[in-house]
Amino acid sequence: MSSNITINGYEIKPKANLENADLRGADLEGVNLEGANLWCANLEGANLKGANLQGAKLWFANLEGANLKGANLHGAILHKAYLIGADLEWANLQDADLEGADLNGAKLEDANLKGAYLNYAKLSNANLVGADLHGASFLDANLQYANFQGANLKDAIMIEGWKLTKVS
Amino acid sequence: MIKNGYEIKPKAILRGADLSNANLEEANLREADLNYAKLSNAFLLGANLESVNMYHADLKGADLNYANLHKAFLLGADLSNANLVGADLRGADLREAKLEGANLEGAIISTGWIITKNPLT
Repeated sequence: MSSNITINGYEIKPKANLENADLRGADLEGVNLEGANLWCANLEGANLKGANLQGAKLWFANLEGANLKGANLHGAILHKAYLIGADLEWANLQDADLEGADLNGAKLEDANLKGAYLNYAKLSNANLVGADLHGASFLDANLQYANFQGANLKDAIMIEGWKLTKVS
Repeated sequence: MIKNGYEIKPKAILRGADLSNANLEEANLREADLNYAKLSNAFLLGANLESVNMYHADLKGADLNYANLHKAFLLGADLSNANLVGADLRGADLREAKLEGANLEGAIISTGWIITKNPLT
């Protein structure tokens, strides 16, 4: 993808300041928004497939139904973000801060969630089949009907003072 | 089975019931309404509590070893000093539950995954 593009008047580039931006349904496939400020941005239904959002700040961002397949969200801040039904298949969410995020029904198959911070997150009906959750933290998260089949939960923390271990 | 004057059966409506210290070993209370129930020091070894509703229930010091708590609704329940060794907690909702001093060794959290003490804490 060429370096800088403009959508809805917003310049899409690394470290861009897109706070509160309206990017609903925008086609942002493969863009580079590394370290961008997307605080409260509305990205509902946006196509962010394969986008680079490493270290991006997405506090309270609306990513409902967004396509984030294979996106790089390493270390991104998704605190209280709305990710209801978002497609995060194969996404890299290593060390991402997802505290209080709403991931109800999100698709997280084969996602990398190593060391991710999911305390108070809503993960009911989320699909985590094959996801890597090594060392991830889920204190007070809602996991009802979440599917962890084949997921790696080694050393994940769901209850203070306790960790998960595979049964051999 | 009658305990403390309450009928113990699947789907029983036992909201706020006082079953403290009751012997409910292997009792079948599947889908029962035990919201706000008093179950401190109750003996629930191997009990079937699948999909039970225990919102804000008092389970202090209760023996829930090897109990089936699959999909149990335990939001805000007090499980401090309770024994949950080998209990099936798959899909259980433990948000805001008090677990200080509880023994969760070997409790099942997801198929193939159990809880063990975290030596780092």
